[in-house]
Amino acid sequence: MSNTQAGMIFSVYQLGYIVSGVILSTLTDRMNTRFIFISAAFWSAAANLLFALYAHDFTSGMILRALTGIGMGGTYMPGLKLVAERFDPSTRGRAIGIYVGSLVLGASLSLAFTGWLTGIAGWRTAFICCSVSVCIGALISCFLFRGYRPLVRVRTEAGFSG
Amino acid sequence: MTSTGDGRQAHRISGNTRWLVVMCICQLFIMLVFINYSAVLPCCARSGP
Repeated sequence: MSNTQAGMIFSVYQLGYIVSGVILSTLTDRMNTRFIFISAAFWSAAANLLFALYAHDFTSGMILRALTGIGMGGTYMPGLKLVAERFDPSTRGRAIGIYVGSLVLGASLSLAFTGWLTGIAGWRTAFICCSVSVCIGALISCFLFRGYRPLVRVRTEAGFSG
Repeated sequence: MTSTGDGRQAHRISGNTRWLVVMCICQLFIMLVFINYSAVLPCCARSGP
């Protein structure tokens, strides 16, 4: 595989991430955000696992990585919405800052953890472990969002209330 | 009455803080997939995919 093809697999992931970010964020206004967040997390875990097991050439790698990006796009903004809904305006900024900080930390750990594990057990094993990690996160979030009810906002002349 | 209200608010803040910590831990686990491909890019470029 050429360097260009390897780079394209990364690019198509970002493309899937952007497209699903826009679509799924919009859907949070109409559907239960908890459902979108958890489904997207499991989706990305499954796609990443399939990548580890079945990505053998450029085409399969590109398709499976795009599917992973689609899943990941459904966790970022919906997660942000869940945090924003949970906190009052007086503490919302700090909560979102901490949450976004954990996202960036997770992205950094993604590189460090995968790189470290690849050196020990190979990249396919590293990817499988990453999928297991996503499943753990998604399962914890199932319990965390138990009893979640979406905020109902009423549009007034001054904007949205609540 | 005021102290009960304050206590309730403190309890709620504590509950929210706990919720946020668990949420951040969830995201740490989930984000491990985020740019994992970049870490294995040299391997993949050598041997595919």
